[in-house]
Amino acid sequence: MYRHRTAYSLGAVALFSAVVLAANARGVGSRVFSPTRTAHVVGSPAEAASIWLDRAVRGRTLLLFGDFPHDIAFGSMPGAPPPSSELVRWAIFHDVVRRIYLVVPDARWDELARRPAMYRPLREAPGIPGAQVLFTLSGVPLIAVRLSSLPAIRETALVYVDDGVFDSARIVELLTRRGISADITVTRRRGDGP
Amino acid sequence: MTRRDALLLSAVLLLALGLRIYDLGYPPFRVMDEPAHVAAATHYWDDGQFEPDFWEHPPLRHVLLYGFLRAFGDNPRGWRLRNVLFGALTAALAYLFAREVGGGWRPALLAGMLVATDPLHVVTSRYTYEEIYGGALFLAAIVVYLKHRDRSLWFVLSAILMGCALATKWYYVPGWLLIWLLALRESGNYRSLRTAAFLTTTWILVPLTVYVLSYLPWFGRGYDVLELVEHVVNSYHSLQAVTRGTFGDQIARSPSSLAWFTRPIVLGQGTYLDGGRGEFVLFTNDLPIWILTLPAMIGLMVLAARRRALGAAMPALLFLAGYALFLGVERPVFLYSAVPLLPFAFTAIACVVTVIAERVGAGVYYACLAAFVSWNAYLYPLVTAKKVPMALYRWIVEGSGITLF
Repeated sequence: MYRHRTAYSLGAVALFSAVVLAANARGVGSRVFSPTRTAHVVGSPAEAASIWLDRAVRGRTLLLFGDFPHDIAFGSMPGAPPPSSELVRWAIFHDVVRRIYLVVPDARWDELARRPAMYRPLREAPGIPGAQVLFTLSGVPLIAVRLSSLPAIRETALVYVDDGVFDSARIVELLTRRGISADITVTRRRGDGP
Repeated sequence: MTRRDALLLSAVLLLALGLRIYDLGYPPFRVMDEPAHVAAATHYWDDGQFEPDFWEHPPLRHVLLYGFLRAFGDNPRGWRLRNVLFGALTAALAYLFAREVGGGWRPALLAGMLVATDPLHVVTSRYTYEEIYGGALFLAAIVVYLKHRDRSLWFVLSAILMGCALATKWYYVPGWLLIWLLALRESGNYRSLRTAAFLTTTWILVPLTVYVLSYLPWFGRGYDVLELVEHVVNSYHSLQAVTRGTFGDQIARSPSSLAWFTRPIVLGQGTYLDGGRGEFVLFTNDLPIWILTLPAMIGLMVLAARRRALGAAMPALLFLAGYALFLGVERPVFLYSAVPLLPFAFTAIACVVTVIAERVGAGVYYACLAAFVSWNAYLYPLVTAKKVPMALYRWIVEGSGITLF
């Protein structure tokens, strides 16, 4: 006959609950936001990295309005520190970004389906019509979503807009309409650099 | 435990340790999966990152390896001692497991010796493969469970060990659930609400607690608990998407898991040296012994049914619970994934050999023990990168799937 069954049962429940709460608190508490809201226009992805580094932001959600970040799939050697020109991998490697929403123009959405070798969809993203979770080398969640399906994101986000792909003024207006707040908004000028 | 058991157990443990630790520093550079595993251990502990290793598997492996790197340094001992110790421990645990389900020292000794000397188990114990320490933790959980005899604290200890196994790979989920059902069935425990609640909360929540704890460095990157659930689901989908092409040539030459116990498999790498010698690291399924696995499983199930003793069927049940997972995968699977199944396979073989020996004569047992260990001793230098005379081994190497440099 097992002894102290009720005590052990309650102990197991209490221990599990405490660990889950502590882990959650550690995660949420590790996120670092910028105290002020700023907008920047840059000529290259590396400049965006400098801004994020300067503001010491950490553990953040990135709204990426632009092309598929090719450096995720075809960047430098896994494990080696990537250069800041490979912005997305750089941000993941340095724990600036923990989660990415890749916002794709509706007109280019079909490209995802046509190029599964590059995009490697894992599954449909729950709660966002048509959105897909894509494979990344690092395991960071990368959710590809149409502009028209951009969900309401409760957490203050980092925003990066490629002005060659999206009209940045329209994006800022859309974010306001959806109630999405951003502490650092970076716009990459159209036609500047690689 | 009798004095004989203590002596035999020590002998098995020392033999297993010796075979695994001998010449451990060779090669003095990182090989096989070591470059990824060692770098990822530090990267995970410092930054909560999985790269350059795969992110789909749970991260306790990084924490364990980081501990050994801190204790022994960034050198071959630091990289490999974790597997050496857990690999040797598996042989001792196999002895205890077979002693518990087989009933005597003979099956225990044979099972322990087979794990101690098995070429695949020895080779994977000398590098950083997850299957060694994950398998050891799983087997330790089973042994503690079998010995717990309604002692609550032992049951909790077993659950902690099971949590550690689950936090290295998901291989052990079927065995985890199987033990839960067996614990509920034992002595009609499911009929008592308090006992069923104790068994369920302990066996389910304690391992999950260990699993969540193994992700603490990852939580330091800003993730919350719901994102852990999302990560686990993404991992599952990513593993399902693995194809023959994902690992390139390495896995393309691996056969289906159906072949593990029925066809000869020799993979690995090596080189021919001057003077008619060669040096190889081989992953082989040791078919002369492994081929006995499936008949032994059937024999054990028949014996258990005749004796109406579920405990006697434990090796077969745990083996099938683990093997079914791989049989369901349509793509080839790396041969070393079979490593956690070996203690159960060898226990079944040992039990059946002992039963036959009881009917025919003890000489059968000793002949099998001598033949199995001699055969494994013959393969040992070939598979562990010793400089071997090719005249003795050419028939194994040539025509196999070995990469030659």
